[in-house]
Amino acid sequence: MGTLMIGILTRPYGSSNWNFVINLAKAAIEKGHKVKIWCSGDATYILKKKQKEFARKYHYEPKIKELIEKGVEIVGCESCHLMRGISEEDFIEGITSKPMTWFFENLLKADKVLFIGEE
Amino acid sequence: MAKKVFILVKTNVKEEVPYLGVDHAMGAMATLIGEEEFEATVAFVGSGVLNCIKGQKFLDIYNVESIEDVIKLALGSDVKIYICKEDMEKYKISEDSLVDAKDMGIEATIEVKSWNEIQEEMKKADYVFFF
Amino acid sequence: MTFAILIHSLNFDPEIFERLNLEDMRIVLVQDGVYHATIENSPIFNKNAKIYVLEEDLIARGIKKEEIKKDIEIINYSKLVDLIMQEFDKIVWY
Repeated sequence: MGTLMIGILTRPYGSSNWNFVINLAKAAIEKGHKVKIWCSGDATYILKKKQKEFARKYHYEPKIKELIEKGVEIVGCESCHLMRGISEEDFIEGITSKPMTWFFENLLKADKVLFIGEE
Repeated sequence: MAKKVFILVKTNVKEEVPYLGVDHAMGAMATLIGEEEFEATVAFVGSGVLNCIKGQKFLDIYNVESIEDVIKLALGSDVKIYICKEDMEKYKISEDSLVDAKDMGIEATIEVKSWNEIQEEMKKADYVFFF
Repeated sequence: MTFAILIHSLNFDPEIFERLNLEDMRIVLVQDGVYHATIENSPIFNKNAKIYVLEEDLIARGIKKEEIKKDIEIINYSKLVDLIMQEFDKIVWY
């Protein structure tokens, strides 16, 4: 079994990239792999707790919590989330904040990497 | 042997994306774990070549740093910066108009490479990211 | 060296894609990228690449299996994980 690193810049609402990432991460975990997700740029909006649910609209907070419960490590780019007014106290429990070097340190330990480098 | 990170930037200045592409390259250069280190390259291709035109005045007009400022920092951080020759021709960008960091005392410059040369570098890299 | 391109949009910029010349190229169609599986003259067919399409995204868009071009392999997320972890060396998002 291996480790999959996913990097993403995309905003959570207004794009379906996060739906893809969540489904891919879930499928990888179910197959016994480890998954780490690095959130940079507007992707750091996903880290925020108290996302409000609207009927039949994307609602990511419970899905993010489920990934964390299953062992997925989710990390936010420190400068990116602070710039957006999101502090660590605002995070969904289990998410951590790290500088960009965390991504590269963990890249060395990963077997495969997918980086979604678009807004 | 350093691990090679190759970042292809195909988006232009209106977005945060090219900034983050160069930021990630600098992040790679700042990472050192034991004997392991990274060698980062950013290649500007397609409309991404427009990021490399010097004389940007984002600080004066928008009060934010320009991608020119970030490219200068990257040149000073030993990030290799390539620009695609074919796309320079398409967007009528001359070599004289490319960003440099001479005012910061940095000798490294943006290197003009053909698409084939850029692609060969990409194939040799350990990690490839498209921005 | 297997190089996989994950295409996620219908109107992607073909400029760079058309130039890519990679020995063992694979294409995975996801999200709106799955529409390419039904388009006769899509640039994805000019690459001599093995093509996969994500079943969930086909179903979500009301595309029937018989509408997609032959030789495209329909996969689910579980199979995509196997490809990423076992077969693809480099993976990029396009």
